[in-house]
Amino acid sequence: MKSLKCILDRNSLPMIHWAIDPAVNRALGLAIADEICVLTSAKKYKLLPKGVNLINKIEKDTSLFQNEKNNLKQIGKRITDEIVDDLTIKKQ
Amino acid sequence: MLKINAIKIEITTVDGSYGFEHAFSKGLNIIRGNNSSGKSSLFQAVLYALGLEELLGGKNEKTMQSVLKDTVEYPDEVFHKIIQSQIYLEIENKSVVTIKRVIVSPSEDAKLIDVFYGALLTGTNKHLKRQSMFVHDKGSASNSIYGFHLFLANFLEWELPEVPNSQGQYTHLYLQQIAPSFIVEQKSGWADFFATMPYYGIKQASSRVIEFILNMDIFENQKKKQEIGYQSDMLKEKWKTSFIQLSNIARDTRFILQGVTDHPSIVNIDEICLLKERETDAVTIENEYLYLKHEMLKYDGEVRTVGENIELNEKRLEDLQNKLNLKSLQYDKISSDLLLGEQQINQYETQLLDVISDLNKNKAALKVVKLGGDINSEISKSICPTCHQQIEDTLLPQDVQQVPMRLEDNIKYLESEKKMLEKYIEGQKRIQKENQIRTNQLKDELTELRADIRRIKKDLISDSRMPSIAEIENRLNLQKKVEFLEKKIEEFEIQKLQIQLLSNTYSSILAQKSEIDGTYSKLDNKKIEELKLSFIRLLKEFKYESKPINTISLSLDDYMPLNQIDGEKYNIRFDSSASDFIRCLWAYYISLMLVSINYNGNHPNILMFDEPKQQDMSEEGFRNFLKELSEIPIGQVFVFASFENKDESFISVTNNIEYHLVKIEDKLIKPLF
Repeated sequence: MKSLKCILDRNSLPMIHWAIDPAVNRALGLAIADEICVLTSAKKYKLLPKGVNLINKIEKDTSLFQNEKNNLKQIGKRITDEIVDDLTIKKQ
Repeated sequence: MLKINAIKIEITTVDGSYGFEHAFSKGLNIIRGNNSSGKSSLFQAVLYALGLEELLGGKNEKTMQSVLKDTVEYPDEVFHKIIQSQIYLEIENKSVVTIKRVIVSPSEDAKLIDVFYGALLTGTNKHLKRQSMFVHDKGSASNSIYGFHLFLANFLEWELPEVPNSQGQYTHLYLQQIAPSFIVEQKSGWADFFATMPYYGIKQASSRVIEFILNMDIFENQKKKQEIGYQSDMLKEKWKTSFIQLSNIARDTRFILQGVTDHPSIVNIDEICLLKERETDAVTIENEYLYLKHEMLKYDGEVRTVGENIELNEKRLEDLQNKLNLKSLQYDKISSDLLLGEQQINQYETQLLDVISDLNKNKAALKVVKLGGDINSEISKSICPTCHQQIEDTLLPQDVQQVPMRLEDNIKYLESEKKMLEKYIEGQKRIQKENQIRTNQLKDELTELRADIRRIKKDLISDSRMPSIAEIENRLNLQKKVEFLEKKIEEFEIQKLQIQLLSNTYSSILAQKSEIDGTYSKLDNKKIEELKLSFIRLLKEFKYESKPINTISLSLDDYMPLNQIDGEKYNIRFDSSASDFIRCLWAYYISLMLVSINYNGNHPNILMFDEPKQQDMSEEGFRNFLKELSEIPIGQVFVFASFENKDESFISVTNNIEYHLVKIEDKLIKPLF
């Protein structure tokens, strides 16, 4: 979270370490298998109708994922594809 | 009571006026007409005029059949387009009013009902005061000026009870919900008890309706409960004020309050006291006051000189110094306890916050799993969507040999941990408070001791012929203290009396509470019992055969009939044949009215059955049904039936029965002349 905010606030890339949590990977794997979302390219996931349905239900219930929702609200749509590319694709 | 005096349907078509007009009598009215003659249109028109068309499964004019809103067919195969159609219904209770409602009209709204104050159809005076009211708007059940259903409820002298809805709030029972207990529509009305009742989010609406119809004490009790709840809130406030006053007296005098808590309880006034702990025992504020007064009286002569007091002073100095040392030690110990306790509370509180946040997360996770079930996700059933094998509820690699705790267990565990921590904190805080009082007390005593010692030392070194200053100061101090205690004791007594009064109120509230705690009053039980007996009697009468009659009883939860075999309860609907279930409905609706008549309940004493002879029922049962209806002592009954379109069956079932016949020859809607 801190790193993400840092990126957004300074509008530049600091030296950061990042890694993918294997638990997240496993969760995404299960979600794909359950047809909640689908992998559309090497780095993009897209929600399927079942997933959209689930997310809508989660969004409606204010007692769920309060912290997560707040954090995501702060970030909004400011993480662009470009930033993700910057982070993930090795540059010469 | 609701009595329908007359109805008039007025239809204006492009080719002239059509319609129907008829006056009904009290007792049994049989509306006989062949299939598709328009019987049901008449039934529906009555409901529509009363704003109860929701029982037909919709709102406003779309519930009506085409003969009342699109085209009139008369004679066969000749159609006339409708320009305007409206229904007049004359109803009677203590007074007579006539309702007019349009179905289609170029100028008027179907949501509008006109009420004429008088008998427009059967009377001679056609110039009556009229008022327009709305149905089905938000205000129709609660707006006092324009709501038709509110008007109708007042007209029927109904005080609609407030019942809890699914959001936990209270709302009035709606007329449309009560109506299915006396109006049964043919298409879906015979499918179940109260089958056509619209849903307004009211919990167990059918039970509430039965309670209302039979005018059971349960509603009265609910009102009383609210009243008591209010009183008890007031009491709590007053009690708290008094308790704070008492605590303030205790704080000011450095005494400890005993025998009373901050929430209402039944107290013994003699047990309420202010205590001060001493080395070995404790002393009450009254005894302390008497002791000090006694001390004061000792000094009544002249003030002695320093010289005279020397010996006494030396001894006292030693005493005081010993006391000072002891108290200092105690003070040190208790202040370190105090500090430690503070830290402990802080620690517990952080722990509690962690537990609460964990608990919320677990609860949220459980909810998400449920949501997953809603969208039919296999993961939420712990099944792998790819290989359909069991998976553990964890995102660690599946081959890690560690069975995670189930979410429900986790929640249970965390909840008990939370409770435990809260108890700890509460206990610790109480100890802390006591220690605080004790520290303050010790602090005071220490200051006093030091001042005494200083005075005596000063006395010992001053001129031996001078009057003893220590003694003078002592006298003054004593006097001040005695006066202070006297005032505080007075205040204390007043508050004690106040608490005594509140305690009495509290016990009377408790008594009232326990009085209404039982779910049903004796009268209620009698009503339920009679409903059951009447229901069983009618079942026999109507030739019910699916189950032995003696296994049938009423549920005490929802007053619905059930079949009881070896202690197991079965829904009567599943245990009866289709035609026997219809008999159950007949028997139940009639019993409701009969019991209400007997006990002066809220039943409008009207029954309307549309085509009650469903299924292929025996004529004997049906005849007994009609006979039973004709014998109801008061009120009005409408039976709409086709009698299989045969004169023989009509004659055979109505033989020897008193009734008023409305025969619809070929068509209901005919030209008006």
